[in-house]
Amino acid sequence: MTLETGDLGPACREDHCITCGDEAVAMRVVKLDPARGLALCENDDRERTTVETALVDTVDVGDVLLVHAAVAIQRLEGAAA
Amino acid sequence: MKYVDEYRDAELGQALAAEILATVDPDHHYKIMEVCGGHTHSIYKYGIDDLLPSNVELVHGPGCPVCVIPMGRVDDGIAVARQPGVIFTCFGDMLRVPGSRETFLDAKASGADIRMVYSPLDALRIAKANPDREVVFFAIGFETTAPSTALTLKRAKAEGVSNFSCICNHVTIVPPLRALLESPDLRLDGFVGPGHVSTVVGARPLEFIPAQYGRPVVVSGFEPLDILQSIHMILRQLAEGRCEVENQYARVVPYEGNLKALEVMAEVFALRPHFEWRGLGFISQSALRLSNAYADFDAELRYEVPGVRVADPKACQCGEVLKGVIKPWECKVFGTACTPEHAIGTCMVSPEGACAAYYNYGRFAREKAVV
Repeated sequence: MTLETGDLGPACREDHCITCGDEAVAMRVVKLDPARGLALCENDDRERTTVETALVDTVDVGDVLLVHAAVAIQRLEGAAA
Repeated sequence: MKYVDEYRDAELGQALAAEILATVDPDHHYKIMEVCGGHTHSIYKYGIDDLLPSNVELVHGPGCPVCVIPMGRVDDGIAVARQPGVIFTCFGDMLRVPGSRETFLDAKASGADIRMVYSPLDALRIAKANPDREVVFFAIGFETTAPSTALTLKRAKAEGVSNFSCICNHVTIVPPLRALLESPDLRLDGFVGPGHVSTVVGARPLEFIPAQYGRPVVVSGFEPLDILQSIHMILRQLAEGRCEVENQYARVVPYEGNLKALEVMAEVFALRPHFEWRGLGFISQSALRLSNAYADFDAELRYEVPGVRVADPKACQCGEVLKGVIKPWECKVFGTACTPEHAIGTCMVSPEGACAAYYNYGRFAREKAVV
């Protein structure tokens, strides 16, 4: 499986740029590409984006990550899978 | 979704508002600063200030990444964007920030190849897809965004992408807070601490605020109940005579931060000796440049940039708004010459800016109250 970073995600369809706004979004991991340190994640509206996971410890499918600018900056412990 | 719905419950919000009312001293006027632009946006969007007693005033802080970029840096970016063969990339809200003569959007309209990205990784992807062009990324943001730039540059170096470079405008949150606390015209009782910045740096760097300046800090989430609870925690500290850093956003923010992110940042960035903040002036050691190990990716070394300091427009009072000295509507041009469509100041450009947040969500409530 190959994941590519990048299509402009749900972030840019908001009324403003959430990256500029220092916002981070909770997203659930759907698929993993461990060799490249990438995860395909979806938000509550099932919109999907590819996320870098290099800055968080081991990630599994079903984990919820806090994502900012397509990079996971934290894993949310105890989140509903 | 867990982490969202339960933090927007109206009944719980009313209960918290009642607790806040019971905690305050009616004879004291409280001034609490929310540092982060995301909090400012939520406060106006959800009408949180309407739930507070009249003697609890929220002061909007400098934590909006777009609002603090001075005009000279925009001019530098536009000068690079106009170089032949350059594809210039930046985040969406940055496109509308005025430089001394034009915005990035104006430059794009007159022929510069300027593209909006959501992540620095998108800019790197554009560089890999266009090996015959030079791709420059205009990096802005606090410590929330800096790790993504660092990770992107690490990847560019590892993959040998030589047509990619970065104008680094990343800033750090502690120095402007210290500058505000040293400011003689500002009296604050406590701080709603930044949530997502603290996810990266942790809550520990904020300990100087209670230790050296005697003000409580509560690191807060961004949902309405998060902010209400944080305000209540600050007021309770004041009522009980305590003064410390508390972490309301513990479900996300580890007290020590994200050590992996801090390591990557330490490798890729170095502190600038000083950096100009819009409205706040030059603040020492408040911003990041690329480290010597990443100098090959530094667009400020690769291109000639004007580097000229440009004074803010005289009519604009973003500086006073960013310091919380005046409210957005007290600015002479608020809502008249300066609107989100035709902004003079950065606080009106970014929706996290206090002026835009108030213009979009708050002005009608105020008009009603005045009548």
